[in-house]
Amino acid sequence: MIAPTTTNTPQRLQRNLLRASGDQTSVAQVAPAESRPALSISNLTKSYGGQVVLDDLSVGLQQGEIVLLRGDNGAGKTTLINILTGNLEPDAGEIDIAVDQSTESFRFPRKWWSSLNPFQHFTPERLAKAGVARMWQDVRLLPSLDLSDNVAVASPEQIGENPLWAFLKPNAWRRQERSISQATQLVLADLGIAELSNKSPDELSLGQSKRVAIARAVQSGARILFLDEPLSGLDARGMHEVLSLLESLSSSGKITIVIIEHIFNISHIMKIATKVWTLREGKIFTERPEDVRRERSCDTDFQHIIDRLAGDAGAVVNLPLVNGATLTQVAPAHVQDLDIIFEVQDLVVHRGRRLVIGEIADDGIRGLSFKIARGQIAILHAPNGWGKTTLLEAIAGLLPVSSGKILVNNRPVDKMRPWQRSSAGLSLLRARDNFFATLTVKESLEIANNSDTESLSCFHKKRVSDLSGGERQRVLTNSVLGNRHLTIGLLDEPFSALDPKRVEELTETIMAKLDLAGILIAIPSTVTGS
Amino acid sequence: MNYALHLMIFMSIYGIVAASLNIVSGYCGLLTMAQASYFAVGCYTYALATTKSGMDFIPASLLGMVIAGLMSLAISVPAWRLRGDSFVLISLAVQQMLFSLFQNWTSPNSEPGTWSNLTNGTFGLTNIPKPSFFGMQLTDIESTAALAFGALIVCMLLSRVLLRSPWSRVLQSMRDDELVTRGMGKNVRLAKIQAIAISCAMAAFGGALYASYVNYVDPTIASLDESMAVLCMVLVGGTGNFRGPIVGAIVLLAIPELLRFCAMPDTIASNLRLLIYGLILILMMHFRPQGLAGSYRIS
Amino acid sequence: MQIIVNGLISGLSLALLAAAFSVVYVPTRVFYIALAGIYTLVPFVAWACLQNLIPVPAAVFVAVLCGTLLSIGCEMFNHGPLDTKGASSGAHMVSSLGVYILLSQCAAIFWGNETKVLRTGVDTVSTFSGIILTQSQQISVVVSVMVLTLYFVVLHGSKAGTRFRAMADNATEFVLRGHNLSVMRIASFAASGALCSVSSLLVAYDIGFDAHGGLTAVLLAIVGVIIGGRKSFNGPIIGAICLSLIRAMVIWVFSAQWAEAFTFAVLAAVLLIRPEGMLSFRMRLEAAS
Repeated sequence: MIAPTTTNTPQRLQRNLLRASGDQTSVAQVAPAESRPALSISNLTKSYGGQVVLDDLSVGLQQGEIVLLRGDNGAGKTTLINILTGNLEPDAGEIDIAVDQSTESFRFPRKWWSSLNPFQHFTPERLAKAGVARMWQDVRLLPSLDLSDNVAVASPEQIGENPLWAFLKPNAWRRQERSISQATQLVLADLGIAELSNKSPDELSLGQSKRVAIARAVQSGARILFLDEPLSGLDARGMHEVLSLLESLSSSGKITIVIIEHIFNISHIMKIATKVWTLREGKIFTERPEDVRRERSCDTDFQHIIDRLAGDAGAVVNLPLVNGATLTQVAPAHVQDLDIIFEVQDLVVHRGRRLVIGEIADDGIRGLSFKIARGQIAILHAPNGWGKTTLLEAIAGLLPVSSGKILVNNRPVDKMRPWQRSSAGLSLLRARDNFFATLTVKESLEIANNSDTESLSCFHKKRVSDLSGGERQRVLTNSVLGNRHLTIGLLDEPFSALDPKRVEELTETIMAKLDLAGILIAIPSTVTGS
Repeated sequence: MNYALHLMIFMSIYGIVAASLNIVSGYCGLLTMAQASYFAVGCYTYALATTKSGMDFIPASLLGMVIAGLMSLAISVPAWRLRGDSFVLISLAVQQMLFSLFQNWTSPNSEPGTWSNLTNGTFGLTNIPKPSFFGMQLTDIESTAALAFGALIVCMLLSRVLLRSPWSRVLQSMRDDELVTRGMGKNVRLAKIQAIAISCAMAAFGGALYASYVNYVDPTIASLDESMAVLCMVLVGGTGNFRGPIVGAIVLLAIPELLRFCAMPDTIASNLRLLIYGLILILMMHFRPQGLAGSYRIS
Repeated sequence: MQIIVNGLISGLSLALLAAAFSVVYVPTRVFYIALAGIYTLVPFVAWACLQNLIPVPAAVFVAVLCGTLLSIGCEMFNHGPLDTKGASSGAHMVSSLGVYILLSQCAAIFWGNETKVLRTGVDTVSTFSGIILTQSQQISVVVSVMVLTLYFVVLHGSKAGTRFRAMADNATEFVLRGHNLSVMRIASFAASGALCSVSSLLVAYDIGFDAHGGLTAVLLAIVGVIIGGRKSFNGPIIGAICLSLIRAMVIWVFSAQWAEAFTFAVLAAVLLIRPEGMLSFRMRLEAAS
């Protein structure tokens, strides 16, 4: 590691700071206007176990652009971002990144001898030095550092990062440290959280931590910024804060931004995006934002399901919940008397110190309440990051509940351990990590206490991990809703990544179980008030 | 009086070793079982350098530190890929291999200290000279105690500077989230090598002090029990800041002395001492996982 | 040939110990060093029984029961509460180490530090087509093979075994399907304690025992587990047997003093080259994209 001479560091810091605070005039002097692509990708290919995710993909990124990268679940958005930030190696292709005057190039596949090199050239740190930074979907601030250190640590080329200089040049690094800490103070002040600079990151709201993460990336000297779902989980105010930060960053013309966003938040990103990349079948299609804006976001899939579930004479009730979620309750025609089998009363859930379920009202925290009757299907539409998974896991007993009551068949279950809740009639199918990979289907059904072991017998000998996505979802739904004691089934995003035919099949499966039980399905939705 | 000085010397030496372990365990979040081996590297190097080539204290201990620093690559390079249980196991493997080396680098036909009989096996090396500076030898216990205590102070100051520098910030950030730290352009591999090398060199310095004080080394100082004792000190005292290990060293060295005052027979006392260590470890993990004076919970 | 057979026989009892370790490690991820304490203590219990003229089968039964109960105690009073508090794997390991130190030092305080033997008199020797086997070796082979067969049958042929594998595979899902995790955890610790006790008694009967050998034995078993693959139930058994054979070869070709160094060199090599173990295969799962 080469320590820079002390004379040029203040300037570099000043530049960082200006970038972070979005001071346009000064930055314009530093930034040379040029049309060279900041990043260009050619013939990029990546496959997992025979399944091609990225197929001969080529695309270029101009400096100062804000690009929206969209695509269906499983289209390879995260794979692409992982490759472009050095966290994953592609099978083949070329990546060129513009660095000051020269270009940093990476070619794949690499020659066999370079894989022996322990100082691999294609690493996150190498790309970070070339100016690529990333904000993770789950933010990932550093929990044991305070906020100012969280930003300060990202500053590039610190003298005191070399233990030898930390010893021998104490004055030099202390001077540098002072200017870095001034810079971070200004950054935090810009974000309006200067008074929290000595606090731990878990005291921030989600919107604030996302902005700190962006500020950290900028502090590290990033010129290309990849943001993984920067708006998920934010309320309208949080979204506004993040969007205006992004806008001020890009208006300096120095920083290029690529945003991955979930389909339901795309309309917000379109306000600032200059280009749209759509990832489909392993290729990128570039579109203009105007064209995308004209597309209508389609929620018809679920509308269709709801219609089918309700039948001709069924009743559909939309019940608004806290923080912009909706509970659509569908009672098929034959369900006449409302026999309430599941009830949530004033439920409040925290994760760490962060309030996830419930909202702050004048008289303390207002929790979540709703009821489900036998034979009813309730569909919980809530934006990504609202806390659907948290809610379902809290109901199932995997997470502690701060206050409120959960009743199954009028019996409170909130004091029970998860397995007792399962015997009481609660059955949750999680969205992820929800099967026994090493067990066969038959064994899985046994473990799930399934009363009906005859159906699905065609799969019995197979391992669950060898099933295709659709088959597996069917087997899992069957096994979870086949619980002998089933009173209320909870399904977390059961339809995600399934094609329409599979969705149809799954709907059949779910409806078949409705005679005895109620079902709560959580699906992602648009944010209300957009 | 001599007894108090003797205790002070031991506390200083173990304070240094515990502080060195804290750099790896507290700041890098890696539990290592090999610290006593590097301590022993310092001991043996000092012993051989002083007896065979008549070096002074400073060059002999520096030599030990350099050798231990180089040998630390044996655990720092695996640490690039391994963490948690796997790292504990690899450090254990290094500890066992070095222990075998100290025990088996011997041949009955040659003089102790020669190439074919470097460590003299289980018999160890004897007649190690007291510390000497530019030909002046510290023979009395007072000056040795002053040297040990001074060394402790210097090591504390150095580690304080290091652990408040941006370097330690990078280490802590790496401990929290390695991928994020790499994504900020930090060379975490280099940082691991640096941290572990500094830590091992410091342990080796403690070893040189030890050898010069007791005038005798044998392979038991590199044993697993010794490593665990040092680990206990750090865990009891607390990791993640620079005062924790010193507190741990004092507490754990004070326990056997208290037992001595209870007039316990020697055979039981040594077992009882270890028993108490075990009990403290269990209670610590249940009720105060960050240690008595620490700020970071081991992961 | 004699060397290979000897290695195989000690490998079988080591395999029991490796199975004992992985029966806890695979489902709960607890790095169960306290097993070394149980390994140390059990022969002392058997010895104390024999000293008080309790017949051999009863002494063995009491010793194994004692090991099992101790292991259950470890879960109920140490690892269980730690798990409820959400302690890290490091905390589990360190407290487990504490339990080991506690148990082995208790043994030393009660029964002394010197080596003891369970067997009275000289071992009888028989020869099978040129291979010499002592009586204790024969007992060791018969008992280990029986216990390992039982282990295998229970794990792959019974409902309890299926539950066990399910818990190891995905504990959260196991809980959601209505199974009591606490009870299953206790069961796995009990199984571990029993396997460890049997292994310890076999070795103690063959070569004697003292208060300080437990950790070495368990570390050796852990090396076997790593070689065989730490995520499987059967890999460690094969790993432990391989390790014993390798050690027998090293002792034969070089000398006994380098056996430890060689063992741990193998451990280091496996960890660096194939951290998932030599015998395990990578599960084909859809990549999380």
